[in-house]
Amino acid sequence: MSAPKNNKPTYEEAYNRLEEIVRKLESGEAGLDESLSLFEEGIKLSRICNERLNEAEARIEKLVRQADGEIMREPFVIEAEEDECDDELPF
Amino acid sequence: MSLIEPKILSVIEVTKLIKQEIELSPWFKDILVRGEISGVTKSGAGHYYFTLKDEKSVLPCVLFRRFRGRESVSVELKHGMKVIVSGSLSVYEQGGKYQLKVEEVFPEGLGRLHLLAEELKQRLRAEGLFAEEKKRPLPPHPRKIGVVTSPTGAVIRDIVTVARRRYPNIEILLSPALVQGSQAPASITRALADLYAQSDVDVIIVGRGGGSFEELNAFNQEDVVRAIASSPVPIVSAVGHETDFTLADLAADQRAPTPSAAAELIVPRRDELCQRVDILMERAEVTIARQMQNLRDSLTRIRTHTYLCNPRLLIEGKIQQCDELTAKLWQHGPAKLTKSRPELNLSQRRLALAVGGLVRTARQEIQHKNDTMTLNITRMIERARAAGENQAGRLNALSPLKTLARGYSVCQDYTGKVITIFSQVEPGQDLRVRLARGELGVKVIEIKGEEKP
Repeated sequence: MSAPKNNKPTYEEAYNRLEEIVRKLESGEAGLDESLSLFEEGIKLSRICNERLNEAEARIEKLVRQADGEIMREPFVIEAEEDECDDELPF
Repeated sequence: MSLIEPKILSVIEVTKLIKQEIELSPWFKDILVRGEISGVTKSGAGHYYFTLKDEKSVLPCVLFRRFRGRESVSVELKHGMKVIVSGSLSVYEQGGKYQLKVEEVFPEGLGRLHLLAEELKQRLRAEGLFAEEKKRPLPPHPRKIGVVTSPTGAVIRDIVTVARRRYPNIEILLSPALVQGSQAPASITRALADLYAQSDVDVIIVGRGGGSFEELNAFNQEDVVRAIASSPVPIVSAVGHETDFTLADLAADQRAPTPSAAAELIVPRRDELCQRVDILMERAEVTIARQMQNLRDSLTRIRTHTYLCNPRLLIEGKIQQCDELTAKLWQHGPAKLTKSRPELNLSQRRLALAVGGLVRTARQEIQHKNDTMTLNITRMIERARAAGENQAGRLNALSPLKTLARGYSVCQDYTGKVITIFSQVEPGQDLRVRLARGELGVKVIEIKGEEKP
């Protein structure tokens, strides 16, 4: 259900690859050239991670069933404070 | 005295007979008993012992620790508590008493609904609907959270508040449902199905606020429980409060004690996710910087290395080595030579060098001798020439011309014959007289001469 709409990596994919890169760098296995290209890839991945974390739109919606049975989405507004008082003070 | 020997049983034999009778009897297996708890004690091993009593009798009970973890047994057993327990009768041989091995404890007063739920739970559990291996992990980074609950009330508000605090740009999609009353089960089932049809929902919370067992009853209905179990994405139940358990909790991938807790379980803290990335990048930077520094250090070490600063040292060592090898070569002869090809090569080169030197020396010597010889020959020639000149002087002195110069003359006939004897001429003959300078033509007038004996 969370299948990405394009081939861009998800936050988790980018993060996991970044983690792998850092482990490889820290292992000292890579020579300078490889280290530098790994580091460069790491910078790109960290940017992807941050993009993913910022791309959602803070939307709150609700599903509404139309008369014809079709399901639509509408913005959902949380009720005013007095409802809360009603809930918390039931007597 | 009877003729027949009476059969005498031991105490344990009696007990075992009773045990067999009781434990094999279907009448005492999986029974429900209503009563009041009395005299609860907990053993060191974690088992509970108590007595169930009513106005007319008592029934010793034991609740073994392994059943204690079950959701329906999470209620704290207290003296005076009216309960319905389920279990089977057994006999404790050493104590010589029968007791009820309790598996479930339900507070009294729940009545029929509770027992129906209990029956449904056994059935669905047998079907594998609650199996542990069916539980899925929650997505670590959900983008859109589906919520099935009442659009009014504290639940959705708590979820939104907590979710937004943790992840300000989180997306939430509410599928409204009635969560109480006779319409609730159908409403919840439909709301779930509507949400399942949305392709961008990563995880779902289904829940409602706390309430009595009857108020939570929709979440013990078979349709609802099955709908929850069939969720295409991980689903978290958040029904009631900490102590409320429903079958929905068993069917969900995870149970949260409250709706707020469900939001906390599901929604990651965005600042933590950012921080995790930052921490990784910091580690990468530190590592790269250290690697570069190490390389720089070793470069400096190499640059300041003695040999690089003073490469002659390097060659001097080799020259000495070469000399030593050459010396060895001459010492040990060809037998040793075959042992070490590199040594041989080196020695060969050295040998070629030495031979080249010899040739050069010889050539120089030849050149030198050649030069000397040329010089000598030249001298000889010069000497010869000098000597020749001396003799020429002497020859010159003997020359008749010199005699003529002293006043002598040469007399010749006209044929060129030198006249040296008087008999060679006759009177009147023409002769030529050669002087030191010039010639005279003369006529013989008189001949004087004596015949030599």
